[in-house]
Amino acid sequence: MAFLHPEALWLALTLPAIVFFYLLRPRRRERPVPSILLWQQVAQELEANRPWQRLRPQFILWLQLLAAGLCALAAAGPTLRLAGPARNTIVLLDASASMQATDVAPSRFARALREVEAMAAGLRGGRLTVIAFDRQPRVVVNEARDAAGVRRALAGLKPSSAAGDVAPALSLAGALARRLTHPRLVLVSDGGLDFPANLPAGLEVITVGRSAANVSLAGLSLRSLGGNQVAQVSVVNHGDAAAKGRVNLYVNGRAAGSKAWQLPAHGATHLLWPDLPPGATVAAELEADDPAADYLAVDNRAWAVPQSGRRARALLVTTGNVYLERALSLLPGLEVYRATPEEYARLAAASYPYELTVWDGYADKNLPPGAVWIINPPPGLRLEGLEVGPAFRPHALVGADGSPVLRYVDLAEVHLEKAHRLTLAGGWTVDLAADGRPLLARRAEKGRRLAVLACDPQHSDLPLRPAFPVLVQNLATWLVPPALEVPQGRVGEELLVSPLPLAEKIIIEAPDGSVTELVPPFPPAPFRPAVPGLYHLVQRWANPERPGDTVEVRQAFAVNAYDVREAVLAPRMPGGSGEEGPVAGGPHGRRPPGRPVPLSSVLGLATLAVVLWEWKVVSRGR
Amino acid sequence: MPETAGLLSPEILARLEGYRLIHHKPVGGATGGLWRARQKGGSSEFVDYREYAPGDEPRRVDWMAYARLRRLYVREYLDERRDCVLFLLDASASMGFGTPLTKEVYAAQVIGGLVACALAGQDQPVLAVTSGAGTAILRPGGRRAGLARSLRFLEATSWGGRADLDGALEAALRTAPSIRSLYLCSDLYEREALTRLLRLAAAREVETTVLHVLAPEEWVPGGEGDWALTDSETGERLELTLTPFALAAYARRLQEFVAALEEECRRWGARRVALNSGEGAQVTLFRTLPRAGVTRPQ
Repeated sequence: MAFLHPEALWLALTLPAIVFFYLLRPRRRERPVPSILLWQQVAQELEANRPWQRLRPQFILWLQLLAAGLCALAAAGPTLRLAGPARNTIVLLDASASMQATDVAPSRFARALREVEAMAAGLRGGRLTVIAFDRQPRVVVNEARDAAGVRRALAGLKPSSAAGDVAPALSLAGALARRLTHPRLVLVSDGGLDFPANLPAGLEVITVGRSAANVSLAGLSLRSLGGNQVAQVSVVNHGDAAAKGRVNLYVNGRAAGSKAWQLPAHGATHLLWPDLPPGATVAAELEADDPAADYLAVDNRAWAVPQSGRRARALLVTTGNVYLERALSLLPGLEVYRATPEEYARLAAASYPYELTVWDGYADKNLPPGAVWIINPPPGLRLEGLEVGPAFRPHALVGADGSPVLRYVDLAEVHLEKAHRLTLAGGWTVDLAADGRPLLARRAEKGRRLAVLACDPQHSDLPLRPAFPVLVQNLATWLVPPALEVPQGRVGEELLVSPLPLAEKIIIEAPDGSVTELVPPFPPAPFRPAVPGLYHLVQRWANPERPGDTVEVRQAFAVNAYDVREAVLAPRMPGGSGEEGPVAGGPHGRRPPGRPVPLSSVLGLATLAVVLWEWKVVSRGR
Repeated sequence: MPETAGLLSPEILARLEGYRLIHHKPVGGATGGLWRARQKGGSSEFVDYREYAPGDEPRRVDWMAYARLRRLYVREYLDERRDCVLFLLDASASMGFGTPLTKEVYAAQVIGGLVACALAGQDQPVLAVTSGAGTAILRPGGRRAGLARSLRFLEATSWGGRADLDGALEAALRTAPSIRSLYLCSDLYEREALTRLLRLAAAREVETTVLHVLAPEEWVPGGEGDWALTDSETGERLELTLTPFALAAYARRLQEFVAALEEECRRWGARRVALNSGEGAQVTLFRTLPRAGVTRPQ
């Protein structure tokens, strides 16, 4: 037998305390008697004149000692290991969002921690490693030898709001297991995981959780309609019983009404709020009438922000290219300006507010700030690892697989009259080539994006093909990407931030007030939001028009916690029954040998029974 | 003295006229009296058996007993003589306990009844009461007036303090040297005084009957718990936890105490009768004492 909380054994001091009170002389009532002649002899027989009376074996005393002993024992958290030798154990502890469910008190995660602590209490010479995982695994206990150390390491550990991914955790556990001899691998989880096909042999699974009852806000989306916004809220009942409740909507933080919902088991519905003010940020909150119908709270709130209306400024430097000008002006995210090479020289000498510069048959020895697209560069140009050579006649065009700028671009019917030979140094990516020579290449370095097209579209049938506007769209999007691909994300998923061309500092303000600085340095690291809510992406740079002033661009984006794998609470394991407790797992799964069985609950009930028994004895007057 | 008005009802007194004291020793007082005296001989009142000895009259042999037991026994009889009887009442503080009747009330009623028996049998009663206030002695005199005086004397008894049993006997013997019988009514917690009294009575050839009175709570005490016991006479204090174990120990000690008293009385030729004040004086006078051979119906 081992103890989870051996420090609680000090409660056993109550036992001598009880004996002490029995030894203490009691307060006596006065009683006159005819004579104490006989009583004196009785007192001598009982040795009652001693400071401490003789401890008499009273039944009530034994009951009290038994109750106190059981209570102290229960507080110490004893566990009983049924069988099995001491082994090194690696525990995969599910810390995903569904572990916040409260269908088992106080929560699935707390129950899982208790299971891990019970395993730690039964180490008996073995070592315990705990890997907590949601989307990413992390070692929280590394080869601990004692239960107290494990308990300290697990203290304060909380489940995240992200979905769980067991594969990286299994991979990490496999790497750790290779250093150990016959390690025991235990997964403590509620399921909801995408298990790889080749589960480790002998993987033991301890399932926590009982109920599937959960109602989620599966989505909150905004779209424009007639100058206003329409919010659509999706409510899904993942439980096995019907449920009902309300959804409250907040616009810019203010209540904008609520709507009732009533769903059968596994039903879904959509609620619409029309005529919302344009550009407003919207939040929705779900309430279930019966708390027992919704055990997971993390997916009961959702946020949405409208698409940003900001447009980047582009400068087309050309002597005249109607096709290109027309294609650029059709892009909704661009505000296109045109300048001749002479005008450009003046503009470049002054403050330069353009985030994209398109050189059409023109080139300067100095690159302007922001992104640059060079079309039909003049021969002899040497710039940023690019050298332009003489012209040649390209034949078959070959696009690079997976190139983002050639997405949906059909080049089969495109014919080029001529193109310039490009010599590219390292750092350039070739997207399109002909006869083994690059025709379209791009380069991204230190926040600056550069693309070069080695031909003049006007000397080809490309502008007449549907591929041309698509190619322009793709290139413009790559050159001046929106700060965020979409204005919303999910907890735990990476968000890639594309800096504005002039951005010098980028931070993200989280809903809890914390600030994460992404830039500098470039390129910005992926951002992984930890909590759901409304975030703000803030980009700053020095104002070129007003020295000493700073330009700040703020963009809100929403991060929601809903993930259908986490929202479906029904415990499910590979090959498992879905019921709480240890189950087999893996090709060679078996019941965990020697799993420690916590005895505190049994001892607590026994204490209660003894106390009731004592009360009955006392009430009967012994 | 507590309320004793009407110590004995007229009905009880009338009934007691049919009872007599039984003396087991020959009286040395006035001879040829009307009432019984203790002298074995030709009287028709049977007293006891003893084994046959050579020289005994064959007509006194109980042949029926011989037929049953195959041994010879001789019947003994009492002569009827007048006797001077001392009734000594312990009026100490320890007698003031007991429910539903305190020992003092009970003892006064028993002594009053015995006085009535004595007067009915033409005996000459002498009453002595000893307490912390001293010893009071009464020679009530004639039969009817004597009984009334005796009852008033008992009712007016001053209770409390510690008794002086042997001193009271000495005083009574000085007042009435012809005393040949003594009836002591006491709870007998004064062991040494009892010994002195018995020794003195034996020396003066006084036939002694000790009526040992205890209350029901003394015979079988109850009340488990933590107590501080206070002696009613000495004021001495004793802390004790009464448990079943302690009560069992008390029962053993009481048994030993009674056995020691019995042995003491036997040693000095006295007889001891244990009385429980809880049974009431009427039961004692008409059932317990006759069964114990203290009185008999005429």
